[in-house]
Amino acid sequence: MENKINFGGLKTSWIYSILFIIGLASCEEVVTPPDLNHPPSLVVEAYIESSASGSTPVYAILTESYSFSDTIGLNTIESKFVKGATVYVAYGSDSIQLQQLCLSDLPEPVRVEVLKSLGYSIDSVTIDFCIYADLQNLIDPERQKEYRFHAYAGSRYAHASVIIPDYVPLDSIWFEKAPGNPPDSFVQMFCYIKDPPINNFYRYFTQVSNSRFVAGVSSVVDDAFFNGQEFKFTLNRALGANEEFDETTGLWKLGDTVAVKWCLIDQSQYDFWNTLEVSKQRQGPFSSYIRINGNVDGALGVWAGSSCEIYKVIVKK
Amino acid sequence: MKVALALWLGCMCFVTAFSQKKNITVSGYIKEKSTHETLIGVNIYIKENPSLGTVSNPYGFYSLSFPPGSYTLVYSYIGYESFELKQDFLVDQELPVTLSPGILMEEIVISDEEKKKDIESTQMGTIELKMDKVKKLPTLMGEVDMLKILQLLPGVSSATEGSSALYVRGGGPDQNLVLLDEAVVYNTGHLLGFFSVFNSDAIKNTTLIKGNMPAEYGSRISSVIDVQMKDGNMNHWTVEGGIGLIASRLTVQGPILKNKCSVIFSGRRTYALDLAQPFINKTKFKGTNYFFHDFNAKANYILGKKDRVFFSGYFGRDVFSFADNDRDFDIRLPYGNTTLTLRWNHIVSDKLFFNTSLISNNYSFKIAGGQDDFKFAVNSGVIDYVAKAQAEYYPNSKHTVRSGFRYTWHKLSPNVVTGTNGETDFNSGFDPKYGHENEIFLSDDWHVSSWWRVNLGMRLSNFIQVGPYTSQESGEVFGRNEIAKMYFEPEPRLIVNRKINSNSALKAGVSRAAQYVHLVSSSNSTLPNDVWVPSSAVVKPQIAWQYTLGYYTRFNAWDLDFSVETYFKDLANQLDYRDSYVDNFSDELENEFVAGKGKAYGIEFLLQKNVGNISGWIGYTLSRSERKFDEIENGRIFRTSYDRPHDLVVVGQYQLNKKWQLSANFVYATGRAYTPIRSVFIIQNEPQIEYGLRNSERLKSYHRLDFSAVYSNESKNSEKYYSTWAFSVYNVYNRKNPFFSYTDFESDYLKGQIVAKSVNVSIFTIIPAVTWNFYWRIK
Repeated sequence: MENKINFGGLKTSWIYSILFIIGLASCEEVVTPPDLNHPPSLVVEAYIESSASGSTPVYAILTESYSFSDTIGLNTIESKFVKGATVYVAYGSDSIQLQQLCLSDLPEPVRVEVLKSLGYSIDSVTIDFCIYADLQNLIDPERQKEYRFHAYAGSRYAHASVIIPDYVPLDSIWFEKAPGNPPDSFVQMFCYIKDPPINNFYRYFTQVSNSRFVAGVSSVVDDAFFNGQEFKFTLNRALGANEEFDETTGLWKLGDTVAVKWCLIDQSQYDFWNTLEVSKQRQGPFSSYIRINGNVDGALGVWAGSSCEIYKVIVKK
Repeated sequence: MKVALALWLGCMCFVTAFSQKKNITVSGYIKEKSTHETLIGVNIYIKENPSLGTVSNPYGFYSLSFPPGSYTLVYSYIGYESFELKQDFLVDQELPVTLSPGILMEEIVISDEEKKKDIESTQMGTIELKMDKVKKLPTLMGEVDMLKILQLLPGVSSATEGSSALYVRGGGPDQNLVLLDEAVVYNTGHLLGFFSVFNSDAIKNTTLIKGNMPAEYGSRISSVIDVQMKDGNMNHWTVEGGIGLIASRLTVQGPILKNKCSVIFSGRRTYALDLAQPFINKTKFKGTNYFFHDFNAKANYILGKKDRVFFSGYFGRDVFSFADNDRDFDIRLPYGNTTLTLRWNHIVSDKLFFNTSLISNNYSFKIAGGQDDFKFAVNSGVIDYVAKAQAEYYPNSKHTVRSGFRYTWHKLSPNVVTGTNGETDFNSGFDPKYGHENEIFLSDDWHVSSWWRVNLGMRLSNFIQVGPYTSQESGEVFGRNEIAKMYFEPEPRLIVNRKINSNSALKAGVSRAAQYVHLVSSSNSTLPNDVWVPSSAVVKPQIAWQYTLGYYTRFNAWDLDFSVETYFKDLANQLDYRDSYVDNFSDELENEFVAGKGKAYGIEFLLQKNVGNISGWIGYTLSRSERKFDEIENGRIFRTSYDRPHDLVVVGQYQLNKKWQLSANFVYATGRAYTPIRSVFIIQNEPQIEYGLRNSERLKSYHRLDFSAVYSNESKNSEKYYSTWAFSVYNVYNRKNPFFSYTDFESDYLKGQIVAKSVNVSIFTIIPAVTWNFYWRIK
């Protein structure tokens, strides 16, 4: 949802960046920033998702942060996975421990399927990824229920709490001619929604032809501007990791089978993704830093509780 | 407002009841001979007894009382030939005086009033700039910018290079009271602050007061920048202007009725992208443009010997528009100030001068645009309506009593966001905020003896927030004009001058100031979309105590003036955004602030040479500016981004001959404080930045050298027409001073790795410029 309902996506930094490009020449100099010389922080990236059409198992990735001078690559990523931690999710009076699972633990056919579901081919992945997951699907995430996350990694302890919100569906999805003069084979997606009169926070992902689900550049929005209203809006295709910005950016190709993953999240998760996304965008001449606002005590990162559904459609006018 | 007015009238009655009548009084206006522009800050004194003296006020009026006798009365003003009148002064006398400009050469930017005031007066941290002197200094892209010239003075800095925003003695940019003919100017910068809104051709005088401001000034806690527009030539019609790289200017002024009524119109506009329109129109960006303009106008009418009326206005705008026709997307960004001032000067008696003003000012900012069915707009701004009255009473040669009141009605609009998407309307739901600000003051500049001088003043200020307003804390709803919150602040002012000898003085001052409207910026510098908010139940007034101590001396043999001032500021209720704040336009801003404390202290050295072929100044400041907020980093004390421990400026001007003047500036400052990167972590397979402690590291130090050479064919025979060419080079040795820093993550897919890079970006490399200026007297 970019530049349509998401007024929060209307960040001033890109406007001023345009002014600079137009007006002034500049010189760049690569510098070595000060080495702050402190121990790496624990990083938690954990997800719990409720979906009527079948949820992904609860899982968490525990890693360590890098110093600025570190190279993030094949040689170092594997060593940054935190292994041997005790990770569990508590809800009500129950708690379930998440099992450590690395790619190397899986038989190859299973490994291929897992990587495929994440959008990778087995040939492209040489790193032994490790996660902590509810492998037996013992947790059935429910909406309006609180889930508490705990991780003990050596002397470090991280914990967080989230309530999975109720779901607000997309009423309908359709495609129309895109504004301006785009190529004929590309169209714009429209959605219709009835937002209930309470505070809601949304996040969306898009998928094209069974590739990975990708979050938009500004993938989250709160309903401050449209609380309790029903309306149509455009939904832009998220930019892929290696995709360049061009005349078809955000548009959908006729004939493609695409999917929208439409999620409801709580405010703490909204704050995390919002500050993360803006932090990336706000590196202009007039911007000050944005501290990413995680919701995990004792670690960087997020305990993301979402209520999601996937809408699959074929792109046609 | 009624209470303030009653208090003020009571003060006036009290003061006038104690005036003495043994002396005779000489009074009148002082004007420039050719244009009849009033002259501000002219020194008037008795040659036989220089301790008997005064200074013309901001309207050019003076009043001096002394025992009857035979004296030589001297009128002295830098850049002008002194005027002496020797006669018997036996009865009260109205004595208007005109002064003629001096010969070319021998004047520089800092006026000679400084020299006199530093020793004799009770003013501290006060600088006056004359625009005709300022114009010859080297400037960025050849644009004369009065605010950037002020940044060359000790104690004054900018947050980023090229910015016109001022940070005075460790105070924030919203803490400066910027006045244009008594109207507050809320946004002082064009093009994101790179150029100030002040057109140098329309300005007569600029006064900067860095601290311990006199009681007649208030509403801000850091400094006062008082800009006076020209009144308009009373004798001749003239046209002057200039063509530069960035903008061109044109000023027309002249008498409607000679020596009775005059007008001045002055305009300035950029055109860089206008010239590029034929090319832009052939691309998909047709409709993309940027320009800014300023328009100043003033009329004044002398009703009689005792009355004069002025009406002045300023209208300035930046307009940016961007269009991508292939995507049917457009955006427009107009913003700017409008001020109007109506003033009436009335001479009640030869000892009592009265000024009444009605003022309105309006700052508005807007972003609007859309794509296809979707339209949006963001509006913010400030509207003030002001009524003020001020009296200056000169009961005798030992006292100058000032009193007055000021009432301001404020309407402050936060970011109001509206939009439509087909048939659906969106609205952020934010209402403007309203407040009444009342101020009353009384001060006396008391010449106690030939060795002691005291300026003692009291200012009482009051702010009333009224509805419509809904308290987010309590949920209470206040209706229209219903009082939601009231603040009352006393603001005492005291400065003591102890003369050591005829060439040296020691001064000390203490003051308390309160501020009721605030600007909190989420960027490193002020931006036009920054929002002004009033004090309320949530936002308390900012308070500052300032203590200063200064030593001032003059070395007559070398025509050098030297001063050292040390200051300490204790700041309360300072505002900042909470950590991790993101402006999504959906938040009630006052709920996103955190309040804390601040301290700023330092020592400023200034050595000036104001006369001679070689003139200039050297200024050095050693200072510290820090803040502390309980909600930011658990109350850790951090330096502000505009903290500059070391700040050195050297300005030199050399009058080579009657036609050529050479100037150079050298600036050195400690690098700007910034928040470093603590670590990098991975989320969703992408690197993210974890920042370290706020402002705990510094960019590399800043320094640059500028040159200018001004050629003028002005001479005694060129009263009717002359022109000048100003050649300047900014950043002569191309120092790559970092303007900002960003982090880039470079992906190497072959090696399968990502490397983080920190990049400093410099914008203002060596920049030559040329400006042509002309002056033409029509008749």
